[in-house]
Amino acid sequence: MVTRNVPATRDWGLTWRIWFVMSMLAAVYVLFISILSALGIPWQGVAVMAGIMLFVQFFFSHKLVLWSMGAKVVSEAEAPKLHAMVARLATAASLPKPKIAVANTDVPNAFATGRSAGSAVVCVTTGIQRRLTDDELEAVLGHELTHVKNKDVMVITLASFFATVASFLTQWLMWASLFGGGNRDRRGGAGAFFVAYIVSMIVYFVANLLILALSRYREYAADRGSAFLTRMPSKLASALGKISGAMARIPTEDLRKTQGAQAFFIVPAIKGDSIAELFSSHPPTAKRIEKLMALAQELEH
Amino acid sequence: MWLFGRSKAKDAPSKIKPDKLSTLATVSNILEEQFHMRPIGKLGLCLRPHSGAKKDTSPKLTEPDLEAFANNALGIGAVTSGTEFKATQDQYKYLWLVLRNDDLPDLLSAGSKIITAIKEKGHDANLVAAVIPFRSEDGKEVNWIYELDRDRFYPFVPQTEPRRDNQLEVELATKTEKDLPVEQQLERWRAVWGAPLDVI
Repeated sequence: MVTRNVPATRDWGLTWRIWFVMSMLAAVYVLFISILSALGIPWQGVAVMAGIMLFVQFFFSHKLVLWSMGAKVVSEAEAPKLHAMVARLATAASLPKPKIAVANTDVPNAFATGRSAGSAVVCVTTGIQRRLTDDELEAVLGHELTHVKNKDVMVITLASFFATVASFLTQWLMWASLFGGGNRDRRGGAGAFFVAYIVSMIVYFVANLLILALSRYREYAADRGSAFLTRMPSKLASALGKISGAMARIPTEDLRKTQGAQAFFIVPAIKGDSIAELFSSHPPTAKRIEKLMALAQELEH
Repeated sequence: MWLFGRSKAKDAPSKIKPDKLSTLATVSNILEEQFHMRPIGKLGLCLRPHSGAKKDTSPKLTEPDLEAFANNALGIGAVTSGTEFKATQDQYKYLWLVLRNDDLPDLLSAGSKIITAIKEKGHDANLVAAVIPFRSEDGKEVNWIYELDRDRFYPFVPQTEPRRDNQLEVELATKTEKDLPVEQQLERWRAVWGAPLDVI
């Protein structure tokens, strides 16, 4: 591959932020475990439980997600265009071609799931296919394939491990400190349980903020990956414009088909502001589009 | 609002609200000046043959019923104000009463009169929407959908089905919402593909 004229495929700022957040998470978790140990809280049992839960989630969540979306895996004969696009992108990303699923809903969305590149499923809704042009859809698929390539399901699952432990502990400790059953003779007693309860809550909160930040950075990375796979960052930008915000809420279905379904209309989401941004797993669309347009310029020169 | 079902149209004392259909005429200037769009001179009134209520035993509406309503509502005035009309049925078995009049305010007021007549006959629940198409200089078709239940308008700009020009729709809504009761819940901006307005 000729490396001239190809911009650095790595955004060092982004890479640095991802590592920074992961280190922060690790630090929070180490501190958490030390405090629990010092307080004499038997956290190992809870950790094993959380481990089992995450393990199950890791291996079965893709089935669960597809099932909850009502998505169906489609064959090449059923969706030749999608298969051709995904095959092309997978080759470009040097990935095995993932399975493709379609969810029959007018809500425009797409997601990738699966624990590894070999078991990955890329899912698109009928709503997104209706709204996007072929180029835009390809750019969206490029974004999802980058998630697969970056092993984002695994990264987020691992990052969530101690947050899950903390969440289990808060529940267990609340009951334990209320009823204090049998544990009073232990080191620390009810006071230690209360401190551990507060610490668990704080860890849960802080860890979730960090995980959400990590998730947002990985979204940027996936946008960037799509840009390099398809060489069409502006197409992803226009796709994002179409599938998020106001325009995504406009249905494509006919009034006469949906008569009587009024009760199922979903109340529009709260408008985004900086606080909401902090609690969001995805970066604001405007910022993503801005970055993509900058990339488009970079790619042209 | 619908948690306890629709009001019992026949028993309840009739309180027929005047509808806001005619307000569309107030934005025709904006549409012409900013979007170069003019009405094509037609209005399609869409009804479902059954009211949809579970206990509805009334016979289903037919095309002659609609033409009779229109005749009653417009009477001799129809001839003087120059509104023509014809009823038809679409692929969903929904009924349409299509009105034609090149004067937009007259067209809308004729539509209003017919809607009132249909409500007076106790068929409120059959009424779905009115579709008022406009066309731009470059041939783009823009429909204003007036949802009768909601008393509100929204734009519908079809491209090749199932695509619609959402960008233009949002722009149209933001430019007209000061004067027109525009549906604010975008989830309700449902499409009306292939309205059979060519019967007249």
